[in-house]
Amino acid sequence: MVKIKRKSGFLNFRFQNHSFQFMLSLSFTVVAVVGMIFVSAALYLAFFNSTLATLAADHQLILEQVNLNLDGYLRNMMRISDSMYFRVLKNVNLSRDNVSKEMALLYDVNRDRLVTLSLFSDEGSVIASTPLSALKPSVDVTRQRWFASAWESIENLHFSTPHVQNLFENSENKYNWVVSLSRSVNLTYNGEIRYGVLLVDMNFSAIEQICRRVSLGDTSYIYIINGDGELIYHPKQQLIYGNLLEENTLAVLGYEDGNHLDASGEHQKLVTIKTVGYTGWKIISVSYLTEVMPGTQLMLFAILILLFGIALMVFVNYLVSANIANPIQTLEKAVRDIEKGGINAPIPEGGSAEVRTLGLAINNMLARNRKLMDEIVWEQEQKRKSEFDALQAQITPHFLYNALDCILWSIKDGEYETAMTLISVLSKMFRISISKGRSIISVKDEIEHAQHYLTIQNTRFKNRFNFTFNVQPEVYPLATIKLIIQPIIENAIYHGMEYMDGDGLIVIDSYLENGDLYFKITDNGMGMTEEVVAGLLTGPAARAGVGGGSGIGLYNVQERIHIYFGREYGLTIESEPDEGTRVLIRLPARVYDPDKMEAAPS
Amino acid sequence: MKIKLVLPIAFFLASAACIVLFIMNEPAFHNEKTLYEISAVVSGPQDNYWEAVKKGMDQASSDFNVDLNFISLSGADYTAEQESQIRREIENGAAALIVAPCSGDLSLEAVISSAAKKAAVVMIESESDNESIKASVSADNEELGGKLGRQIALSEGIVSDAAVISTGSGAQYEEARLEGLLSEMSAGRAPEVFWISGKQEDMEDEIKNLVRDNKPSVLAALDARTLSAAAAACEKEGTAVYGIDSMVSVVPYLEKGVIRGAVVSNAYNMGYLAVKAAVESIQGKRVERSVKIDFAVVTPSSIYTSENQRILFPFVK
Repeated sequence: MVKIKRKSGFLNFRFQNHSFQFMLSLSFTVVAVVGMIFVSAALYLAFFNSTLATLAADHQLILEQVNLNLDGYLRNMMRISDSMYFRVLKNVNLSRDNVSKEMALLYDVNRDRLVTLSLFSDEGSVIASTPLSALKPSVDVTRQRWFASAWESIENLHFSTPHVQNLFENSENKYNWVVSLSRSVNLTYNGEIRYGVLLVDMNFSAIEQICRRVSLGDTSYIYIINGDGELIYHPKQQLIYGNLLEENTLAVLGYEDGNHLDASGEHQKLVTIKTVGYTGWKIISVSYLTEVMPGTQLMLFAILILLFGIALMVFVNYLVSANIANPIQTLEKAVRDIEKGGINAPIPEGGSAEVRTLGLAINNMLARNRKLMDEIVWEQEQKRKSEFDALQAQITPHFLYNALDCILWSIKDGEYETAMTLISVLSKMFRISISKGRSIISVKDEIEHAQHYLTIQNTRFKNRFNFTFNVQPEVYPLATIKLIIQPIIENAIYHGMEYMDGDGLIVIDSYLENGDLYFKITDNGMGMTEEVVAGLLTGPAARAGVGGGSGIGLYNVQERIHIYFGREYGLTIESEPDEGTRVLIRLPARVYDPDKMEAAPS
Repeated sequence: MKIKLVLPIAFFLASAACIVLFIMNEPAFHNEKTLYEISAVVSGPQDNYWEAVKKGMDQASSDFNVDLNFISLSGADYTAEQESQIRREIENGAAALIVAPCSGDLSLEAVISSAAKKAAVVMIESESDNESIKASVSADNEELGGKLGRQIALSEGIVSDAAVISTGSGAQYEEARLEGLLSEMSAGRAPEVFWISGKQEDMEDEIKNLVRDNKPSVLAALDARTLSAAAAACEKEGTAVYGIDSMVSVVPYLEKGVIRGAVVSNAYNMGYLAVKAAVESIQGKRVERSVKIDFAVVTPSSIYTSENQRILFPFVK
């Protein structure tokens, strides 16, 4: 189990580096190739066994036929010998009778198959012989192998191996290869029984013709051996005699009749054996399986076909796996894009039903996510707006105290006109501040609000500074966030004008430039260092509100602009100590429409 | 996607092309068998000896699918005839040539060298140092001569009046056999060497004259033709005849004891192995440069031993 897990882990490790399509192609191909190899091997084995069985049956039939012919031939020779012995020699007195005539008659009838028919005495002298009878002086018959065999077992017939017949003088100097059939015979000489040897020399070519007639194939052949494994006939007998070819006849001797697979040589072969009756000879057919089985070329061809099949499968598998994997890979790529932040990336919904369902489900999930996120963002914005609006609301008590205090002193000083003006201005300021609860108002109202505020503050500070408005008429209908100029003016007054003695100046410009709306508040007050300027919008001092004033810092104004219009809009502050400060407010130039402003996300 | 498809499509097409080419060029699918055109030009007239060689060649031709053109010599000038035959066979497009040089003439050597540039040349009977000759198939000729000398010594003892007959062609096999024979007969007086040539009858007459004039007790012949002529000439002379490369026609002389000993090389094997070497040369296979064939000593009493009768009487269809 542990091993299996480890192996599985190994496979996963190896495969995890490859694509889904590759894995699909590889899996399909491996399964198909293994299947093809198994099927091929099974078919090959079935073909092999079937061919082998057919071949074996054919060879047995052929050997039966050869055996029939050979047995017929040998029995014929034995009948000649029997006829000569039992019909002639048994009935004659050799002291008186001559058997040459009967012998010649028998020879003439079978001359095509016979070389000589001879009768020898036990001392080896010729008693009768046909067609030749003059024994060569150099020949000692008793030393001939066939002669000795006849004496070894006198009841039997003996067949020799092929040899050159060399017994008789031959004017033509012909040397025939023969197979000798010899037997011991009883010869009657005036009632006295003597022994002799009857020889039938069979023409070897007759045996050869019986075997040659058989056609087995290019490399298959038939050969015959005797009971001792000595060669009787072989189609390449002279090559074997000359040691140029080898036939392992001794190995075959150990086989029973029937079919045998012999793998002893260079090539496997089918050996079929049939024993010839009486002689003990064995007829053997040999078939090399390389001849009947697919050869090297055919095997190569089969392998080539197999490779072609594999190539075809790779190709088809590639297309199929691409068809399956491509939608999944596309889906995977889209999901990766989403993972990297592209939440609005489109999710493809192609491929199979399952992949389409998956794509659809992801798309639905993303849509819900996007909606939820939008809602969260809107809620957060609203929350921040509320927070800043609440801060903005702090203006009221602080400024109201100062304004009312100023009105009170004006009344006490009998400056009723001034007090009335202040009350009127304060009233308008509050009207604009309220603005029906809207955070976005028109530029006209914002400018008006700033003018009212400056009027009150100028009264309060007893005209220590002057102020001027330079407003392009076309900006009036545009929209702005409410009360963004007032905190800047407040800072300019408290930090710039408080110590001025009548020569303080605050200039408020409003204009359009490059499609944006600008408010520029310039004072000639104390100015600030760069560090202070840098901390006004981002540092902790900014968040806490710098110095006194209304307690609303530039930071709040900046944040409100960012919340409502984005971070590309906001404040830019330029200041030089003892020179003054210039604050630039950049807003989008949008026409004020109270019905369309501040809508919630859909 | 398109780029990814290129590889499998290319593989697929290449496989298909390979199969088509294989089928078109593979002889196994056309039942074609290469037939090798081979010519054999031997060193003498058609006799039993060359018939045995031819039988070996015929068997090899059957085994290796060879169209064999076997050419023996019949004219008066063997060298000129053999040169002419070699040239003709090469011109006729023989892929390989098996040649038994009938002489040691330089002109013949040049013709064989020239032939070797156009076809695979395998030499039989003689050996050659010529690098262009693919192989030589023969018995060890010097050893054949030596074996004959030892057999003479064994049967006749030290002989001081022996004569050697040779065609004097200068062919390598003759020179080597003579050298081997003389080295083994150096114990007695060196035998006199006689050159005889011409037709069988002329040779017999020459030998008869030679025997009458010189009265050698032993006559050693260096090839089958001179041995046959010597046996016929000496049948009634009583001279002990020995020789090399017996053939069937001289077996009766062996049986009668006219020829008392012969060293017989396996001519059938020589023919078979020569064709085999030629085919392998054509096929571009590595061929052994010098293929040696076996031989046996045959005496009147050992003609019909199993081994000797297989050499003397080739077992063929």
